[in-house]
Amino acid sequence: MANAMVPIAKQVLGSAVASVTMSNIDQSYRDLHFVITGTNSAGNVQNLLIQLNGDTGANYSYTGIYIDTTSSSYSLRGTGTTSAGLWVFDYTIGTHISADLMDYSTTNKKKVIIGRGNSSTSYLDMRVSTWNSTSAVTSIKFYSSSGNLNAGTTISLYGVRA
Amino acid sequence: MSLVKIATVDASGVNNIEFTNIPQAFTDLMVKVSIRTTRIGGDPYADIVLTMNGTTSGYYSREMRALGTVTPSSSLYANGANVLLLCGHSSNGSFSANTWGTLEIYFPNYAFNNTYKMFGAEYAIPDQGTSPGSLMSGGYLANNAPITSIKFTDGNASTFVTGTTATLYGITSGSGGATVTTA
Repeated sequence: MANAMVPIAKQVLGSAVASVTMSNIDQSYRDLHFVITGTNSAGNVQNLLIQLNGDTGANYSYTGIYIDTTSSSYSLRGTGTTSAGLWVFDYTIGTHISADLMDYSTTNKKKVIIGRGNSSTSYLDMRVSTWNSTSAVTSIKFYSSSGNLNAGTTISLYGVRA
Repeated sequence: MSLVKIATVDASGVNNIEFTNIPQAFTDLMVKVSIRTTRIGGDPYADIVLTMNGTTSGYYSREMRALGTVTPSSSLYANGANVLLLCGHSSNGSFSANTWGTLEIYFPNYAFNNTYKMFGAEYAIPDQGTSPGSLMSGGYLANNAPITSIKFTDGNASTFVTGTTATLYGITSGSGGATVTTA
């Protein structure tokens, strides 16, 4: 296990930005793992979104479950969306998202992201997203569904060996 | 190398597991725990109590539960003196033998001194009968102090059986495998 997870990239925001893109991603691992903490500047709960290889088309789908501030539980799904991810992204104390992008360097598999998130405003969610492409993933863009990524937001990307 | 084992605890016969004097040089922490307790109850679910830094207030957490044949995704919201994780497998003979609850819990940015301390966890009570449990949890401790100790305590006045173990890992982030840009 000791050498199975290798740091690839890290961003700690010193000021608010609209997006963070990690590109030219090393293709020598089996999976990618990323950890995100932070907040958005919109002043209310948003979604943390992901686009792969700069694809802004309606080429993503997702499914998930979550609970909210009322302790009610929900499931959700969507197709033909323009982004993946969609974990709840908080605006006050913080959000913690931990996710994996499976088989990212293959060229014969559509790409799947699975991850868990929790926010200080009491949302807890699990999301699975699919990118309708078999292309190897060479870049990942992280952004908020509204507002910026606030200063203090951190994104860490790791490569996971088979 | 980003994932390093810091310590392993054999918790056989005691009622708590505590990691203290945690090194502050890593980015994040992860703990993997295998727990079975001497609790005898009407179900296989044993309570495990999480605390950090010996703090006894300011915890906020939520837990999503799918237990046995009960409608999945019931949930619990709690603010208080600790975090309750339903991750121990009890020893009632009506439920699976030689089966341990399993927990993976993650603490990002644990060494920061200017942010509340968040955590996220996934765990299971893998009873092979009618009462398995699949759960996840998330929350935070409303305190900016770096995490220097993490404690898991049996919440049912029982003790951990032989084979109960916990391992603490340190995770270090870094660069060199991609280009990072902001816009």
